[in-house]
Amino acid sequence: MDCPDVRELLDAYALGAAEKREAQQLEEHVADCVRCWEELTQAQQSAALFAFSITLQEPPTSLERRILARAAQERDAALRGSTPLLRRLRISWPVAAGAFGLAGAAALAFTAFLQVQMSDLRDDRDNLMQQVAEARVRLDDQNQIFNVLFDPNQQTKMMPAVATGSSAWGEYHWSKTAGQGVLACHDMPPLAEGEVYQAWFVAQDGQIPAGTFESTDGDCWYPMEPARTPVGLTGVGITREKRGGSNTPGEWLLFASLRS
Amino acid sequence: MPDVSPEEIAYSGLDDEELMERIRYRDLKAFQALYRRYTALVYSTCLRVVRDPHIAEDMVQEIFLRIWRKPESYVNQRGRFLTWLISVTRNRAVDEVRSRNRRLRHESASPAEQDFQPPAPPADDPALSAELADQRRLILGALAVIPSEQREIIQLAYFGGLTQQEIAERLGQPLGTVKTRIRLGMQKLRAALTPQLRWEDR
Repeated sequence: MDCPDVRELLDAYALGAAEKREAQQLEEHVADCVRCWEELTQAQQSAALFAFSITLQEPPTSLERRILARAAQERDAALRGSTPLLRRLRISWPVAAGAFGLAGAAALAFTAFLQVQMSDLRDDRDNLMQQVAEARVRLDDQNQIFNVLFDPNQQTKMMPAVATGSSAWGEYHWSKTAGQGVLACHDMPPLAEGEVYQAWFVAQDGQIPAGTFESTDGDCWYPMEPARTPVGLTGVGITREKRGGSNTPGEWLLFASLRS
Repeated sequence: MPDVSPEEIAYSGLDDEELMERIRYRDLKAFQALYRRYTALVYSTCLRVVRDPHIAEDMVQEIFLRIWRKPESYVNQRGRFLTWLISVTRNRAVDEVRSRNRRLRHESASPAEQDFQPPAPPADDPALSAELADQRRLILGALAVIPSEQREIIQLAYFGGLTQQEIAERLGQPLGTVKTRIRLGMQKLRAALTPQLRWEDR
């Protein structure tokens, strides 16, 4: 495929409409032809902007929580698998040095070793930043619980089980001073695979998702999200939903009316 | 109903490249800011292609988590982040449709007019930031000058994931006509978007 052929096909390729065989030939050509590559880049930019022609819609707000929770979870898992910095530095260099007897080879190896260690140091810096960020999230949660429970003017409302025969119960604690609320729950019915508990604010114009959480023993202390309590609340409650949460509450497990 | 803290406001002031740099250091707030900036665009593109809100949500999750897991897959020397993100999104959505063989179910004979709207001021679209709203206004203005038969074919290719041959079969038009219309339509689009493309090169 030569330059004129490629230019005939650029737009179709950028739109993803080229046949597979033609697309492969074009890719082989632009790999060696700077000019066609530049024209292809421009065609791809035009094609990408096409996405703006559609009417934009927001996904459910629960999706953000689901994605962020997953991201945090994966970051934590990576942290747990990391090796402490000092131990690795102490042990691995003598082992590496012993593997090379000749001076020239050792010098070469030392350079390579330093590169690896630099890479490790970068990884460790990344891990430290992860730990700081994660600790800050936990601290925010703990602060919210502290702010509410240690407010001398804290208010509490009993949250009884809605289903007959359930032994679950809870309490909603809130602080007007802090503008924050915390849920405590006990003896909650177990979660099935893929389920989470979801907290809800209930206001006059509808229910507001307040985050999801899990509990292995049926008890919980849960700082409500958003941390700043919405105004005009008429109730709070907990439901059981699929992981990722819901936009509308299913069956209430616990509920408390906040109407005075 | 996100609670916007001063810190989040500060993050929202960072440009895409700065957010991506922080994401490389596993900064969850930067990831959240990037998500909030582009979630509507990514979700809407997925939804436009796959026509199923649940699948579109799953794809948004997959695309953003891919960014979180492998931020190095975006190389800023190759172009702007936004162009890259849209390409990744569109290609992933089309792959999804192909793999699920849903094409016949969700493609109507003439989808071109379904989503096309006359240019609207940014204020009509609160989901967009001012910069994105400007780009949207620009592309809608550019699309308005493309004849409908060219626009229809381009949209079938881009959102429908159809090849030129498949479009020709779908519309009962000669393959040569389809190729010409794609080329002419894209040329007009590029001409109308020249200021934008210059901006992209900065």
